[in-house]
Amino acid sequence: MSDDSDYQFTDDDVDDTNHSRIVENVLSLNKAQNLKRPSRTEPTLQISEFNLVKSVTGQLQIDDLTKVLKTRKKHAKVGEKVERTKKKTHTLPKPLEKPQAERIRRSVGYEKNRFLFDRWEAFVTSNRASAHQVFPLDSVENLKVETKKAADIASTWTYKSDLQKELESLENKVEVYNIDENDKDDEFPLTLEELKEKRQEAAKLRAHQSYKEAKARRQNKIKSKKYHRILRKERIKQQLKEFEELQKTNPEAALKKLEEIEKARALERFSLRHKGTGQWAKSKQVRAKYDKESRQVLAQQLAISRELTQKQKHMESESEEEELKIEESSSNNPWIIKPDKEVSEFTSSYKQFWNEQNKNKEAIIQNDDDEQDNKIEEIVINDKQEKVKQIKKKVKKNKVVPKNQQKLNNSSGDWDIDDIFDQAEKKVAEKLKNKLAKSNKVTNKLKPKNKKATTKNNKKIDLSMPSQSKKQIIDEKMNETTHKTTNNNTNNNIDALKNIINLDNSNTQSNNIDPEKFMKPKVTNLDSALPSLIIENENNNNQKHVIMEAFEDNDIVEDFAKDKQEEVDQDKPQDIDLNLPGWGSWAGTGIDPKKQRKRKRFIIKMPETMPRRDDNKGSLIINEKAAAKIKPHLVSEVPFPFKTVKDYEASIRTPIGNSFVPELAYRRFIRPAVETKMGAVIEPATTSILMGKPKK
Amino acid sequence: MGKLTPRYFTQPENPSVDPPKNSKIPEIIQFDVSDVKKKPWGRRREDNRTGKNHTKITKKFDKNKSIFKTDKGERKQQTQKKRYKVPKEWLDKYSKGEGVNLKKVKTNVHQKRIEHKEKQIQYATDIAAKTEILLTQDAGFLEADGGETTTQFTQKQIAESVDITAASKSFQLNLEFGPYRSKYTKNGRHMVLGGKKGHVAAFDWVTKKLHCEINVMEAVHDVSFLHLETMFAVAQKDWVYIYDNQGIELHCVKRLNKVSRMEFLPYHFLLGTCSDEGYLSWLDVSIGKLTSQYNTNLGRLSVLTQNPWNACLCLGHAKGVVSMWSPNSREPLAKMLCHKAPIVAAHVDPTGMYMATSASNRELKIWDIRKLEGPVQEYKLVSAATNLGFSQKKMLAVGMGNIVEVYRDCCTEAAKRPYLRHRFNNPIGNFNFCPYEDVLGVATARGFTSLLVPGSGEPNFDTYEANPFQSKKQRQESEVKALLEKIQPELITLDPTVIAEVDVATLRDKVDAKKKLLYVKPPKINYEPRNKAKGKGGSVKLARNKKILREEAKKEFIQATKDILPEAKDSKKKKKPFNVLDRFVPKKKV
Repeated sequence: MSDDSDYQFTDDDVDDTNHSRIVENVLSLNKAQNLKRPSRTEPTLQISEFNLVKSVTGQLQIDDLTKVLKTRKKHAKVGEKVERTKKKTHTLPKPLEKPQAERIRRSVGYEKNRFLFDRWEAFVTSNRASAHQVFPLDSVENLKVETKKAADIASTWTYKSDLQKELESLENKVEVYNIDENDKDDEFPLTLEELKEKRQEAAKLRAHQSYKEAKARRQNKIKSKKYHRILRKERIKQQLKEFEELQKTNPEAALKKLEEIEKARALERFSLRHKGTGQWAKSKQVRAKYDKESRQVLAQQLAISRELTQKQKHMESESEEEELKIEESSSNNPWIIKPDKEVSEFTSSYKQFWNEQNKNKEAIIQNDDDEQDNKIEEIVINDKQEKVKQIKKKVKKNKVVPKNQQKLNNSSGDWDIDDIFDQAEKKVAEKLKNKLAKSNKVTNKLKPKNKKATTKNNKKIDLSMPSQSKKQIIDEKMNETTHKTTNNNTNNNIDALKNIINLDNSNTQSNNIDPEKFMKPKVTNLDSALPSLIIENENNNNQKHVIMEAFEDNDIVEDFAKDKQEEVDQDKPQDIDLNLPGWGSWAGTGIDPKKQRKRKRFIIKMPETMPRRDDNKGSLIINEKAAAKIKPHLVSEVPFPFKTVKDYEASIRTPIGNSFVPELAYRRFIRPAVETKMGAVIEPATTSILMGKPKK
Repeated sequence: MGKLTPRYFTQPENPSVDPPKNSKIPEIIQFDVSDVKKKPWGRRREDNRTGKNHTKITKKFDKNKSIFKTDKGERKQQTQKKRYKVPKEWLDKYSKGEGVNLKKVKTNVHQKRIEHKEKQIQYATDIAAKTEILLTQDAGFLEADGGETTTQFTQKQIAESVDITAASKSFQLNLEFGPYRSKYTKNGRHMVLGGKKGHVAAFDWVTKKLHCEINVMEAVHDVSFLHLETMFAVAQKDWVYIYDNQGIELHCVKRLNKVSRMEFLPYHFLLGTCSDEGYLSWLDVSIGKLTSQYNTNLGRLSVLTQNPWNACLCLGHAKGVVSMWSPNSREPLAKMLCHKAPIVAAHVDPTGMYMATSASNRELKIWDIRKLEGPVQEYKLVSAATNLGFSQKKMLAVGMGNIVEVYRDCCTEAAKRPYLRHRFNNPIGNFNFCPYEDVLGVATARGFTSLLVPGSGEPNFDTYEANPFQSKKQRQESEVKALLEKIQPELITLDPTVIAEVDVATLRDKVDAKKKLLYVKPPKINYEPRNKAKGKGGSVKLARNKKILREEAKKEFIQATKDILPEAKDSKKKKKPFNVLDRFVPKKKV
């Protein structure tokens, strides 16, 4: 068995790797088949979904690593962090099935690309709507954008020589107004970039505005009282803060502000909104049910308010009115002697002067009184806090003082530090007043404009009244549907009926008045000459005339009327009798054929009113059948973009031939929809034509 | 530095409201929120909305757009140029009426297109109105001194006082061949004369250049130019002959038999004739065919005139009736009882507004022929007017025996005395006002006289329409153009504007028919199965096949009806409001 020796292995002969593989294989025979776990050897960014490692319980967990960290206080925080991240992490979901994933990808892709294509929408619609296009398109690259030439402009400026200046100073200065408003815009045209910028800015503004609008709308909708109260309080607080700040920084403005606030308050109080809302009034109201006194007090208050709010008649205005009346009457009345113009002017001016004088005097007197009062009060209530209020009052009252009085004061010569201050304040107040007056003027100017606008609107509304003349439609239904056995005759009749129903009843006014009877012109005898040649057989002629005039009219007119009646009758459709001959017509004694009411059922009645164009024109017959012959040449449909007949008719109302419109207009009318340059390559449009920036 | 682009967020400067610089109040932008449109929903709507805004902005920048093309200086000139303001009357005169209501046009694109078209129409009317400036010529008139009347002025006096070219237009031809008839061409340059005894002549009456002069050796009843001066028709004893301007006989139209009067309709190329036997016929000159011919059954026809507005022929009858005819109907389109005596003469003015009729009872009436109403004016003459003729400026010439009288404003107001009067030595055959000239051409029994009637002709002529100074080339061009623009005889109606209208009656019928389709039962089809071999398909299978086929047909029919009806489609599209139970409805697969 020499071969045996061959089978003996020495340790040296055994291949290590082979051996281990065998061992492994043998060992694995008992276990379930084990796929070798894929292992990552190199770090890569792309991870195949098939190489994802399935977590195995026996594997290393993060917890194991963090356990160590917990032991030390120093690393506790890191451990917590790791814990937190661990909570957040979760395994990726299973990848979707392929069709679903595709679907999602497609839909997302669609959404993305849709916006890309939407950029073209404006361009496409404008091209579609434009009546004529020229190809090839002007691309932006080819456009010559004018560059701003600042240097050139500077070169246009010139220095004036001394001589020139002197000469100019010698000349009479004439103010030159440059009214050309367009000039400004024309100086520097916008470049494309600027245009885009401008557009963007406009868009921004629009967005901002729409945002504001939305916000305002939302806020307006809030009904909560509490919310509004809070809002109001906030506003007031804000205003107070502002005011305080203003006081520190700019006392003048603060004063003005104060005035404004007070005015607003006065207006608010004046509006009678808070009539019965005071604490006092409320308490009285509560008590009024049981307490007589409080009731009385309330009534009194009411009476006072009524008294105060009643309109007072001005005595002066009345007198003026009277004057006016007199003047008016005098203008109409010839008996009243009018005073000369000069005299009347003098009297009127004198009256004015007199009135002014009186007013001034009164004002002065009042102011004096007020001042005296104020002084007294000052003395009396020196210590109290109310003093401040009084001073304020004083300031206010002084505002009313006219300039004359100031001068008076000055002339009197009693100068006080307080007075000086007062005067300064007065000046400020006056300035403010002037400004206020100006602003009021501006607002007043604006008001009538608004009024005009409203009146315009009104007019517009009037104009927009439906001018379309509504055509009357006869929609009378037939008593019965047509029967199959209608013969030719009845068919004709039905056609006639249709004609009636379809007739354009624009002239249906069925007032049976012959306009000719009213509008008959007078017969004028013309001053014409007698022809000399016919005179030869004058006698004969005269006789003829006499005979003709005697027998004139009657037969001719009657004939014509007869003709017309015939025509009308011919066109009139007769009732359709659908009775079968012999049906229901029993003969015999005692049977009255007239009484058979069933017969009536089979008669189709025609509508009675049949408007004709020549209905109330006695001396006119219009053949309506002949008029219908044009019908095959008419359009009997309303083509696509139009909704109404009227609009379609309006669209074809004008001819375009050059024998109907001027040559220039004609050329515009027939300009081809698409023009191409001979020999030029028409490139497709590029994104460079689009204005907006692409959305990312 | 260039111009600063305006900042949108800057507030208007108002010193009284200007906040102090060092305050910490934030700038408050105020917007007018009182009148805010509701925000449209949906992306599309929003896009539309923004799109609208875009258009506004582009409009604003349109000025700048032109910068790319034109020089700055040029543009300035454009802006500074003052536009001539057209008076409103002129605009109204050329106005084409109310435009399309754009809101009632489907789709935005079509709205834009129609808007553009409307603008062009507006432009056309504007330009047309502006051309009024170019109409510098005014119609003249005779002015009488105190104590005088214009009636007194004789032709001799007038001819002496006018300039030499105008005076040359007054002339007289003494001819021998019996009562004459004459007619002018459309542009008024040429004239054809026809004498009862066979004398026919055509000539340029301004230069007095004779085209041809022949004697046809037959009675001549009427003459008429065709569309050009190169051809004219002569109604002879039996038939109508057509000659060219050299007198060569081109045609003999034997179907036009015993014609008494002829009228040529220039836009339709129709020669309308009426005969002694009561026949009315229209001969299409462009194709040489008789368009229509029929008996009016109204006896001898001798009063014929055309209405230039609607191209109807007006006939005057012995029963005092004027009837209007088109080649499309054997009955008259309209009949007017004008007089209570036989009608002797009738004429319609060139604008087709008024018709003058005269009867043997010495009456003369003016009618509003557009409304077919009247009479507008009624006159009584000393003797019956045998001839009537309107001029382009609505002067009316009245011929009585041997007298011609011209009345100036006889339509709108009652005229008192004639504007001009002329007495001939012979009875008048016929007369016509010469277009674009102040001339009345009167053919008498013994010749032809051209009278000067100041202010009778239209002083401003449209050379596209009729050119008195036409060259040969222009004549050829205009002939071709006129042929291309020929109006078909079918379109002759009482109201020529009808063609621009929609046939509402038929439209309504169509709509009704469509509506009715919904309620029509689907037709039952008769299915005849093939005879099949024995054993292949029993009676059950046959019946089933039949049923299947019938149902299919029914389905198809229903589908077809649905497609026809637009309303049904719309109703389908309308979305129902979401119902609570709708959530259980299975979603539709797209």
